[in-house]
Amino acid sequence: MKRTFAIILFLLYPFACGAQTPAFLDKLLTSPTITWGQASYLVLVGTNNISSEASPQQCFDRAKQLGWAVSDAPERNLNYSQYSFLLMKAFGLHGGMWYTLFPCPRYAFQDLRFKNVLPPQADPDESLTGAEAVRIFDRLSENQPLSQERHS
Amino acid sequence: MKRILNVPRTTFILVLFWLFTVPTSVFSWNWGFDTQDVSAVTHSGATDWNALQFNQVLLHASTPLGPQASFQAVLGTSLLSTEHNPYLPPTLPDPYITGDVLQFSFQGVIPLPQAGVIDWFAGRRLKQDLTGKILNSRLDGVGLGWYTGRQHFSLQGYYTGLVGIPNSQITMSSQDYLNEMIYYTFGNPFLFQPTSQRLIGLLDYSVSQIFLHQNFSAELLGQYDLGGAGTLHTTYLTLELTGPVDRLTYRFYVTGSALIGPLSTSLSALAGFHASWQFPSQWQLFTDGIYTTRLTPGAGDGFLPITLSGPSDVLTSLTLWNIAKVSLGISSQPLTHMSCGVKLGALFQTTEQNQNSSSAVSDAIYQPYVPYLNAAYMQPYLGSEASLFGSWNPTSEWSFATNLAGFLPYSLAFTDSHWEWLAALSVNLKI
Repeated sequence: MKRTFAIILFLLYPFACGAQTPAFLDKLLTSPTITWGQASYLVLVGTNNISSEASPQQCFDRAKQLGWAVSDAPERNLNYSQYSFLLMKAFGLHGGMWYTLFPCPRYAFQDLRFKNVLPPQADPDESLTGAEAVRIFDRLSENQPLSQERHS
Repeated sequence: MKRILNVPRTTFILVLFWLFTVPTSVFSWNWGFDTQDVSAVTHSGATDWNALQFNQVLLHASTPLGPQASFQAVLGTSLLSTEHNPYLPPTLPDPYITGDVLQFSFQGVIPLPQAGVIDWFAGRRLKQDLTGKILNSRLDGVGLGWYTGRQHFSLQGYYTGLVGIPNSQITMSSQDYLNEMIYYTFGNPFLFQPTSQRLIGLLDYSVSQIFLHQNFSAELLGQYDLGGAGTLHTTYLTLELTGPVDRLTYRFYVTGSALIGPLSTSLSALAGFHASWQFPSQWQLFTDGIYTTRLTPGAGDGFLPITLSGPSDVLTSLTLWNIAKVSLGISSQPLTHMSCGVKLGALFQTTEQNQNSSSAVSDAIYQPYVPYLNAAYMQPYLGSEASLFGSWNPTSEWSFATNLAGFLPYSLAFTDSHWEWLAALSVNLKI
């Protein structure tokens, strides 16, 4: 199942994300964790917020500049709530009352779980695997068409 | 040296210190508040009504204890106020406040190479039996289980006597009822009184996909009353079959029970089912039923669960003592986070004696009084009920639920045959 999923992504992503993406995804899908640099690359390139030629470090710097990354080190691992915050910002999603008042990873996690994007048993402080990060991104992409104009 | 719970005080303090500080410093905590407001009105007879306002705040906290274990705690405080017509003197100060630890549990799994997985638990949690009708209470205990392939075995042991009375729901014997009356008339709104002391043991076995994706479970439950007078010991053996058949999902269970009272031993049975048919659209048709009866001929014999539970949405004092109910309903999910439906049902008594008969409370068993139920009525049919229900979660933090239910008593079964009504609205906010 995982192998089929990886093959599908491998075939589809070059059209959306550029030529260096398959190698990046190949590495990410087998990784037991995902770093801020990898997550920034996956999400920012996947939502057309940065060119696919950018490096993970450049993607992380861009996410940091936009206030979407709540870490200072691109080599650090993400947990579910931090990844949820990055996704909410990158996709420009509207959250609930608390997220609107206090946009932070805690309420981003609650909102994405409410939208059935995150697995119900996910723990906000738990590190997620590379494959899980790609699955969540994919689930969100299907419901939310990507748009260039969402973020200037 | 002074001792606490028969443990030297220094050791007790060190254990508490470890429990609270080590997980806090080493692991990260997830926390959150849930607030709930329930407003309900019931109307019975010609003029009687009762309004209830229940507000509760829950503090959830959890932390992983390594990759295979976790700790969870839920602290709760609630404020309840009621208003009656005709006026009844309040048994507790009105409004009154309660506070309790609703959950304090350590749990985890231990993978065994080539031999499945061990799952374990220790602490306080909400425990339900296989049927959901016999036991539904917060309990303190330990449990150990073993997953091997499609099978799961588990052994659990619990003690009831540390949980506050409002959170236990255990009222089996007349002695339990007396203890509760002492609590509810004491007059201190911050009083904490634990429920009656009992030991409860469960032995569970389940196997998934036994044939054609059908699942089988069995549970042996034993309850030993540690009270001094009028003790009631009970055992329950439940068999359950669940599974999907095309668009139909069903659940069928049957329980045999033995009750050992101060005067006699009696046998009884419970059977229940739930089935639902999912249409290709958002509609779902469902039916459920429950049937309990005595298996020994004594007029006072009947099925007695550990926690008070009943078959009716409106007659909240009606218990599972020799009773049957069948209902049919339809529900829909018009939006992703919205559901609504309607349900119709009929209630029956399965013996010539009913809950208000004097024989129902023999042998130290407690049965609440059902308003207007004719104690001399001997026929099966009691009445019909209908309910409208709905729930809506507009955002991740807000949820609303409502239930409007009515019971039409059969004129011979009840001394007052006016409709009885219940209307409830629940509002939850997650912080």
